Amino acid sequence: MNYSSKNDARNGDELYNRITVLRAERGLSRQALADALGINYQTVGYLERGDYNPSLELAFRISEFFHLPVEAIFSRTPFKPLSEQVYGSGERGGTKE
Amino acid sequence: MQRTKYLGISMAERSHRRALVACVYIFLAAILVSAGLLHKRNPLPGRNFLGVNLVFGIVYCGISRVAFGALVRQATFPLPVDNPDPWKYISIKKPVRYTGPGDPDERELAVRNRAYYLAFRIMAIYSLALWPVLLIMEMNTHAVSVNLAATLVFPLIVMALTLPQAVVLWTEADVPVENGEPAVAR
Repeated sequence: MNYSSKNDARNGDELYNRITVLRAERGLSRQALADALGINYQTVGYLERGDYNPSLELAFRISEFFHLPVEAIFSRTPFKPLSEQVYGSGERGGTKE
Repeated sequence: MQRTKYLGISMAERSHRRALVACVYIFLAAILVSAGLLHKRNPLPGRNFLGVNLVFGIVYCGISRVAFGALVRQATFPLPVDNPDPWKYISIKKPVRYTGPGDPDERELAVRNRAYYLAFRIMAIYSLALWPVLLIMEMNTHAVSVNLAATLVFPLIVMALTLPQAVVLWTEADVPVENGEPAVAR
């Protein structure tokens, strides 16, 4: 439960997340997500922008809401774009059996 | 933040909020200086001056309440009035659990706690700075008047009641606002 600062990247404390993408995929407004999580809608905005790092409890609530593991939503390193992950370089054209 | 718009002005931007805080404190300082100058020209007896201070205190708190209180959610004194059980916040029997409707979430609590801590530090520095000032004045004049002491101590009361909200307004990053979102937090 921390506020990130400009030094976070240097300190390695920055936490990246995919909340914006997941929320957009599901067509949810920030208010709807906030109501579901029991938090202020502004907090969702701060989370998405990376200005606020959630507590472990809130991180788990978010992961339960999206039915995804925590590490799929939060990461200490920048996420690759989903398109790149799905159609990763060199693997386009089919999946390996 | 309770509101992202106040009197038609967007308060989502930190620069706007800082301008508001600066304006309010400049106005309050101007009142205090005016009172001091007025007292220097026409000295009031001790009790009367304390009464004047009290009136100014009420004016200060009223102004700050109107200017800051409507903007800062759950960082106002004395109690959150919109909560169904406001007395739980001053219970000393058991720790307060923020789980009810209208309670601040974890980020808001973090903001509030940081604001109160910073406000306390500013007040502590001011209090420490008062000592040598009063000592020097006493050495020079051999007696510090009640009026002067009250004037120096008086800002502490104002700070206790207004600084936490001012700190929130001053330090909170720009509020991320999307189209269609309410200007008043639920």
